[in-house]
Amino acid sequence: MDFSKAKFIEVDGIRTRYFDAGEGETIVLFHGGNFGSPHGADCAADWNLNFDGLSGQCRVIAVDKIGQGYTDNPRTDGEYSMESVVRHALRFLEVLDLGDCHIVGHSRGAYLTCRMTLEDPSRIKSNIMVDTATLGPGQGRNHIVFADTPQPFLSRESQRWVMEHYSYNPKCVTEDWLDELMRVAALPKYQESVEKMEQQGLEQRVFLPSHGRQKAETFDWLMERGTGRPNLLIWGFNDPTATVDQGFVLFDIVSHKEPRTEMHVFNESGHFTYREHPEAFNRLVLDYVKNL
Amino acid sequence: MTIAGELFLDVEGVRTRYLERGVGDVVVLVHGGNFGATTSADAIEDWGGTIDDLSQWCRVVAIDKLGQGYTDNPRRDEDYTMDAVVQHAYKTLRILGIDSAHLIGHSRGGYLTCRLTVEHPELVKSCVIVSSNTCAPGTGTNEMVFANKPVPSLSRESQRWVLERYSYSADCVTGDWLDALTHIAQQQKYAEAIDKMMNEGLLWTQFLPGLQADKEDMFRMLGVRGIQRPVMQVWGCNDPTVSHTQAFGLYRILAAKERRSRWHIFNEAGHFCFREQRKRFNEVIRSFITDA
Repeated sequence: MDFSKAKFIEVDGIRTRYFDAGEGETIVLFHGGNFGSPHGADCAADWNLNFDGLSGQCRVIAVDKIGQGYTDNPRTDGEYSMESVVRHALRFLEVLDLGDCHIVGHSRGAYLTCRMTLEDPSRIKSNIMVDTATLGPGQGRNHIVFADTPQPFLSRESQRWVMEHYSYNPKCVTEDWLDELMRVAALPKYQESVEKMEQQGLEQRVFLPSHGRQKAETFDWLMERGTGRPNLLIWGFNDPTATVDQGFVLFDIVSHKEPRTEMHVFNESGHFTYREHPEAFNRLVLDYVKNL
Repeated sequence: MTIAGELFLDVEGVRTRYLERGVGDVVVLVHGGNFGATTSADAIEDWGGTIDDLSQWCRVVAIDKLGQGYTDNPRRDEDYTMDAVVQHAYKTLRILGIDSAHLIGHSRGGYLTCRLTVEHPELVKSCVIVSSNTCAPGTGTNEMVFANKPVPSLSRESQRWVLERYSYSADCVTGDWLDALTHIAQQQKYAEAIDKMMNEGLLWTQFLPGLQADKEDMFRMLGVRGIQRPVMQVWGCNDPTVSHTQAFGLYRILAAKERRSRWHIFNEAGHFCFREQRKRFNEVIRSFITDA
């Protein structure tokens, strides 16, 4: 994944970075994390071990979600919410005029892809969700795993520590990935989003409460009508934050009304399953979308 | 609405409802649920006829937990936690002069009795944990089971629907129970607790993350020194919110360090197994406490 080949597009006034390569079935990758996270500056580069492999066999697009990576921050305090992440992502598909595509979401990004599929499935052929406590029922463990995150936050060593503690095999935390996470964390707009979420308290006042309410509604919809699209859940057996038993209960919920639902568990894998097993992950996803 | 034998007590400024009936060894009953819950307004009344049955042979002390039933809400935002609920129950017992008791906790109350036993074994003769996924490792299925509950939530009909879904047979959801829980939910203080938990979002920013950390802390203590008291899990095998995997996970933790660990399973019983197998519940408890 060549970070110098980034593209930019305006999505309702939000300058949005994405990477676009390959031909064939379109797969859009949505990374995890959220704007202003003091632990890790997640962005499209999270997929850097998968992007080239996927683009050899399909068209793959990896986008920076609103407020993350090199994509602009939300314009108002009230938009520091998951609702605006969903709105931006749906509009991104529309503005880029992608046609039918498969969407893959990781962690908070999997809550996003599920919600996108429920809200507007018109362009979505399938919904692939990876390691997500944000959508998983019950309570995730991030606050426990990262209680002792080393300071200063977002320094290279701190981000390395976080990503290694997410992982089963720390070797999946590569230097080129950390380079990009460091570049993002150093951007003034990233610092500003940390200030908003942490110091001004938008995470506690806006982001988490609105997400909690919307998550309950999401379960209502999944149990009532389902996604209406095939779903694939992918989980790392050793994920310390989004535990595999959350995944199993999520599977029961997602499959309740949508029979075309599968789940795949990788052993010796933490939160970034696609980084721990990049080749097997790519093969699984490519075979899945080609055989639908 | 009153219940025979109910009394009130000031617990550090929190007006607390409790009930005493019978003579003999003290058996403390702690109901489930939490303040500001939008599914059902649990309180002492959950126990139904079990209070009559037990009080034939022991001194029953049943309490309304902090913020539930007719007990005041937490006085400070930071006390909207499970830990504050546990501390409130502990102080209630101390103020009542109870220094040696058998504890029976249902659902979230089962976590409370287990936690009290681990923290204050000197106070506890034995501990019973009834149908509690809060006290068990893994992810409960409440969000799945109670998706799309009827609105308005906490109305008599909505609570009926919730309690029937918890149960094997709708017969245990009696009119007097529904009347009591509906009345509890109509209090101004109940609406205030909902506002704190759902609108301000303390459920997601504080209560659930704190409970998860406390649970893991308790499992660690149980793994190191054990519960040190006779302990019994009581489960209804038709409870849709507690899986066998979860129940087995808890038993494995308890039994690893405590020889006097028991596990009783009732058939044709859901979450409120003491209502559905009332006669047998009383017998099983009496037999266990006699041994203890």
